[in-house]
Amino acid sequence: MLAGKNIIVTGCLSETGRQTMVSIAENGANLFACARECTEDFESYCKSLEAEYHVQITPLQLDVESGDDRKSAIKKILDTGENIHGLVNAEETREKIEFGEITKENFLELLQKNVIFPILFTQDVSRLMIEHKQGSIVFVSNVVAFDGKIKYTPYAASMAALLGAMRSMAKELGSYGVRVNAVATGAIEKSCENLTAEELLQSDEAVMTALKRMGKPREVADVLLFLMSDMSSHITGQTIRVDGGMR
Amino acid sequence: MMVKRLLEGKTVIVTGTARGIGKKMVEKFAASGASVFALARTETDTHKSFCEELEQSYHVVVTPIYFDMTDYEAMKEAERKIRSFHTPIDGLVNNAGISPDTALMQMTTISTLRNTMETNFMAPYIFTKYIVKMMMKNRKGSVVNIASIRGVDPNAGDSAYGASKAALIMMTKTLAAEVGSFGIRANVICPGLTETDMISQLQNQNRTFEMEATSLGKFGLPDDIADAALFLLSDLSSFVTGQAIRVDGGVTTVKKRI
Repeated sequence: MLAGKNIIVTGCLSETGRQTMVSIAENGANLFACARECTEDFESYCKSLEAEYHVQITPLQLDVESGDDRKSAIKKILDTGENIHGLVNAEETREKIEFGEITKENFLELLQKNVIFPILFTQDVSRLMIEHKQGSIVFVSNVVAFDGKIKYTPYAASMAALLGAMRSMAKELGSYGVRVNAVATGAIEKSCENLTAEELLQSDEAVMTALKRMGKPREVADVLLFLMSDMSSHITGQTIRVDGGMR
Repeated sequence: MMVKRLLEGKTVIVTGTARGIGKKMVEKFAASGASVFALARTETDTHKSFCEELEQSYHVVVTPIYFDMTDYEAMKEAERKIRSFHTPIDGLVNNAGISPDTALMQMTTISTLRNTMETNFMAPYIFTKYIVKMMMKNRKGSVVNIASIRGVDPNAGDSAYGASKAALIMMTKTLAAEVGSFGIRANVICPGLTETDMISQLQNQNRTFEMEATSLGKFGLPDDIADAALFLLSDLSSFVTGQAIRVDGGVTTVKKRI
């Protein structure tokens, strides 16, 4: 589905990020895999996917908050001389802050991590896409942007901010053939970790879904795959909820 | 390595397959490895040979069935016929629909209103009841309805059409809530203006106007809508249900047609 494309994915250390890498590599695209910390483990994970799917995977150090990291990631991508066809912004920080505990500092910090820096990085990447009059950008947001969630006011605000920004970008970049969309994830399983008390509570959310189960990270990845592919070439400015029908 | 075709081994039903979007869907789903029941109102040699050619090209079964969706007796008979194949049904796409001439509410006749609601809402509602009953036995399935952005954004002159599509959208969301526990998903696609016979009568001036109102500056093609349906029928969307997905090139402004 993606043969010959080059796609950038951020937040590759999360399970959703890792599954996105698999889904994209399996469908034939080369990857620039951005991770907050480019550890040896991560590099060998990239190598193993490369060998399995016969695509090129370039691990990149990208702490999205660091201007130097953003600059050097873009430079490394430019140096390869490859056209960029897609960007998946999957890096996010999900911080619990009670309403009464919000300060200017912790609120701003979360907005910077989840909204401002990812958008600045997207701006850099979009320039590469505009040159070639094509590209697909996707933001990974969350259903709390619509539904809200107790103790997640700043996080919900940041996820909603992404969606408004996404729709504006879709309008601005559309005439350059660049599409911009989002997925809003619902209750998604964490992988192979023992569930904490809070996560057990989250699994109650499974009962709230129409499908009566939690989603798997791969199920988010596959929707991202669709939005990266030409199958969605007339879809822009949209948010697809991947939530099993949550109400 | 070979990636599996998206609908390999699945069986899906598509309504309104004589032309346009429905025809493209049958073609695309067959190419993706699905066997297809291709439903259409009128039996023609063209349609029959279209189905036969697909069978030969993609080594799948493409079975045409002809009946008028608003003739509920005929629909019941078609349901019996589909049932007689004893094939589990993995997907249903309710694509058949009509787009009446635009008319302000004051000018809309009872018969236009009735025909529009009947074809765009009641017929898919009743047909879906039959097919979902089959899906429930197998505890899997994906229903995809084809509505319109007119079911979401109002447009002067489209009250009957828009209301029928809005009804279809809410039917889909309710169905998703009702049958999710059976492993059945239901989603709806809201196409914007798409290059089909339905819009070929648009005057040039209006075409340019409507086209420029999209972010991507183009109309959709039947291919685009078929691709979205393919995604929703496939396991790629296994955690997506109850959603209305716009395939409209990014239309967001509410406009008056000249």
